[in-house]
Amino acid sequence: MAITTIEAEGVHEWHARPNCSLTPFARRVLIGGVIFISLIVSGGFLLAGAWLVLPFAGLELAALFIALRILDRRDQSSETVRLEGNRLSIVSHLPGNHIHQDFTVGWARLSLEADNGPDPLICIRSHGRCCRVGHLMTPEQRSQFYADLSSRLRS
Amino acid sequence: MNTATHTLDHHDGHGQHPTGLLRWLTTTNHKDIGTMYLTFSLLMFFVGGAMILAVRAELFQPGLQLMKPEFFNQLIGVHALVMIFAALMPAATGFANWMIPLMIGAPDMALPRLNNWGFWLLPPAAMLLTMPFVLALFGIGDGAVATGWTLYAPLSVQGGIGVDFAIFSIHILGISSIMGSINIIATILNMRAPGMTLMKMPLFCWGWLVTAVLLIITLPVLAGGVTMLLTDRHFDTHFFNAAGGGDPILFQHLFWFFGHPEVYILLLPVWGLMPHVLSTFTRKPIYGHTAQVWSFIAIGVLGLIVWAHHFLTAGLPVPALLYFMYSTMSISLPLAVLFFCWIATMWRGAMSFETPMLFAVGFIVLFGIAGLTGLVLADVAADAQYHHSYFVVAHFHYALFAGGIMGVMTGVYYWLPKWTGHMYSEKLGKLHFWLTVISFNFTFMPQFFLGLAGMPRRIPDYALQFAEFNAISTVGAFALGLSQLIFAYNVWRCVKGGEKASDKVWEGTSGLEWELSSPPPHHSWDIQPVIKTP
Amino acid sequence: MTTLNPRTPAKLFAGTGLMLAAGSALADYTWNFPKPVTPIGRDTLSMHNQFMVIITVLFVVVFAIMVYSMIKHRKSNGAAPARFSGPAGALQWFWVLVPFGILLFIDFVLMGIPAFHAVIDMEDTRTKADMVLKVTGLQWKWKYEYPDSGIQFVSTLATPREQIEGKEAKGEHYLLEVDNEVVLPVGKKVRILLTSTDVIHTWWVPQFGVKRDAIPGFLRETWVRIEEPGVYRGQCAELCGKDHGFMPVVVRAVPEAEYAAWVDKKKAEMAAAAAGGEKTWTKDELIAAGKAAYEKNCAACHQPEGQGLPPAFPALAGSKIVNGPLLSPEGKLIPDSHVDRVMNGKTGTAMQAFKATLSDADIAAIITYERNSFGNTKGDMIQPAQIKALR
Repeated sequence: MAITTIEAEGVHEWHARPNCSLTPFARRVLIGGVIFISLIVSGGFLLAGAWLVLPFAGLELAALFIALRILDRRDQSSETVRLEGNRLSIVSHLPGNHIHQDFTVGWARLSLEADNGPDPLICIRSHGRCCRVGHLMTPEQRSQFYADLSSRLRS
Repeated sequence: MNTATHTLDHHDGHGQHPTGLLRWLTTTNHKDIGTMYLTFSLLMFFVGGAMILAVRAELFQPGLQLMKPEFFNQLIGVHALVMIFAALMPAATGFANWMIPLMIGAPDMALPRLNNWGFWLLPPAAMLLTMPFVLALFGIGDGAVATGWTLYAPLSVQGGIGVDFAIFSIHILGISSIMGSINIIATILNMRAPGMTLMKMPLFCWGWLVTAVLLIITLPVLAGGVTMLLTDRHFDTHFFNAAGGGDPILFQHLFWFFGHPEVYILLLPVWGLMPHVLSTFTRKPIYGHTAQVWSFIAIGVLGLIVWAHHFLTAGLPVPALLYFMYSTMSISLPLAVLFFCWIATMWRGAMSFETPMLFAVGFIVLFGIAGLTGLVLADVAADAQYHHSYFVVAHFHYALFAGGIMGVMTGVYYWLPKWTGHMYSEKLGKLHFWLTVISFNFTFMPQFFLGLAGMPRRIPDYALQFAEFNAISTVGAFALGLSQLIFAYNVWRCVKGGEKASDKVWEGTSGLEWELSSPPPHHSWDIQPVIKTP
Repeated sequence: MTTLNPRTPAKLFAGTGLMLAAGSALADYTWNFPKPVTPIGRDTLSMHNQFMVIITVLFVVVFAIMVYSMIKHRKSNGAAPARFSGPAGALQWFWVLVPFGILLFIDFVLMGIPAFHAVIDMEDTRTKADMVLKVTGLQWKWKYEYPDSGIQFVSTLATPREQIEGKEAKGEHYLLEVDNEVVLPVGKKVRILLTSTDVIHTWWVPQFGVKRDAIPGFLRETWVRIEEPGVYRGQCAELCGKDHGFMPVVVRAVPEAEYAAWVDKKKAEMAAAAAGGEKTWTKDELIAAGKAAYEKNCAACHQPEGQGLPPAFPALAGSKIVNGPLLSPEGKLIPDSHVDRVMNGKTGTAMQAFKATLSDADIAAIITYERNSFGNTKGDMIQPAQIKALR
């Protein structure tokens, strides 16, 4: 979980994305390698008459593939909070959920809310709209970000 | 390794965690799950141990004194399945859960919920495996699987309901292992701290990565094999029945294609852990990090292509015999690299011998005996004499008790202060070590000679010429079993309290995991550590 | 400096003598293979001895280095840790690679070459074979056939149950004695064919240095050339169910003339047994013969009192099958009847087809005995001639 902050003239941006050390190349090598070896093994046993190895290998490769898909989707996600003048814009790309919302600084209210887990998210409210950020931050980073943002909003 | 962060304090304050049983049922925290794996493993270690002590008691003297042969056969098979699948594998998985995120600087495992399911499949599987014992008491069925853990067809086709229970249990254990493997692969590959390249990754993680890949490759073969057994038993297929065009030896190929890598699956995490312990107590960097990584990979690859040396007496064609003999012998090379690196790590260090170091040294010596006898066993002509005899029993207990269990104990003593925040009793630890090593050799050294003299394995009663060594072995086994109570007590004491452990715990530690507090906070690595290039 | 005490050598001798005495007190402990009596056995033993020396040397050298380091490089000795983590420079690389070169040599030359020749020798079952012995594994006995002379018999454990259960003192060859020994001529190359009728068994005589699996539905082979007359004992080595520990192999090797005499005697015995199938027996004769045959062939599973070990081994006392009809009114076999079970077994269970191993007289006697014992009171009987007709 990495947060990068960009500070320019009148602009402050927080960009959070998950830490991911698996490069697309390594991912391809892993999947390709496992499929290749599994095919040799289950193909060999198929020729020897033990065809039941093949479906199990297939099931397992499917499980591995799904797990890597989930990781991939998680790795694609990002949360950007941008403070420019009196406009606070939030762009968040989470699995199955893409949000772009703008708030006016004077009206935005911050709070920490936990809806379905033990870890509270940061909730930004204004005019009945609500936007949650902090999915990609660790609790420590979240409280730091919360303190940072609220002090900047107040000033 | 340098990191850009400093140690964090406890962070349990974020919201409410469920408490009591619900906490353990629903937890997705890698430390909680690691603890559950290790506790389960310790419990099953004693269950499997009790079974084999009953067996050794029967073998104390010639004649049948305590049990019928049917029950004897059930005990030996279930002992092996319990020890391999419910004691050793979960212990290694427990280590992985606890240590991999700490070592690579990840806040948790990559797929925490999968992690929880992976553990909670184990207790039902263990129950399935042992339930036929209980059912037999109520007159249902004829007890647990009585075919040995190898489940060779057609004996297993002939067997009672115990075989079906064992098949389902193996399926569930397999699913659990697959979940664990996928999770570990995903964690190790995707969640390493920035700057930790694969070649800089701790060796323990490397050992586990190779283990996880081996599991992914071999488990479908076992699953397929036991399913074919099930259909042969109940749905009139003839995979293993010559009269229907099948072949009983096909089952042995399927079983050992999984079974031989399984040995390395059990041992690779231990081999990964050893260099850390040696480096800590010699206060010296690990020797040959890269060479060890490539040895792990080489052993993994070779492990996949030598399976038939487990049935060299089954009448394989000569070219196959020669191939499996020479390929098996070649495993000695990467293994020798490991031994070389272990000893070179010790060379010119500043050694001290706390309990983990004692266990590490004991492991190296006794596992050396396993490796050397393994080299001899590869020889087809001599194997004809060793095979199916107590020589093999002694050999694989040197590999799996001295190599596996003592390796796990090394890890427990090494990391226990980190996990609990307390030091264990060094005095009890050393006592445990010496009692274990001495009684272990009393138990299994005579079995080498029994095998040479011609005692087959898996027999409930034996000829008079084998009596003396069997008596010694039984006495040793009981001493070995009782010594493990010291271990359980020492762990229990350490969990309950004791002298406070420092964050580094040992003087010579290096690595990310030792920069966290002891015990580490519930959420570790809240701030991403970064590995700087030196 | 003291001069050498002249009595020291004497003391040394005395010490050695004591050690030798201790050695003979350990005579009950065997530390190596039993004395080999075949070319393969001798080869295996010498290879084994050579390998044991090699691995012992490896063990001692490697761990001597480690122990030296453990003594020398201790923190308590004030050792300062070095910082190296791999070989540096060409010379160090050379010394690192040398042990692996040695290991390669040991693996593939020192051990690999003799092992290669031993395998080729062991698997060469056909060149100049003098005779064939066919061995069939059954739960839990061995059946032997001599295709050259037509002799066949079943060999089962002869140790009484009382000895196993500890009610009697155990004999010298406890668990390694059989009712019918295999007799083989000395000095002849015997090609041994192995198969099984139920599960996998393994035929093993340690002194022959051969061990081979008997696999149902397949034929495996091995060979022996016994060089010395004597009785050689072994056991089944593959877990084959309940009585795996109770199916010994006993081979008696005799000079050729004695072997020929044995063949003649055995042939005469078989002719007599066949004649037993021709004559008409009385019910009492059948029950008496049946009791003996039952205890030898059936009691291990169905128990001496017919109570069985359910569910794997059903009770015969009060059994529906045993108390069912004997034969159909036309004198034909009724499927799944008592006679059918005994003769043809039940596939997928330990109940084997006894028509393959027992004589007509034995089968008839056992069936008659079972129908009139353990509280079963069918009162009927079956003649060996009837069994013969049903084969």
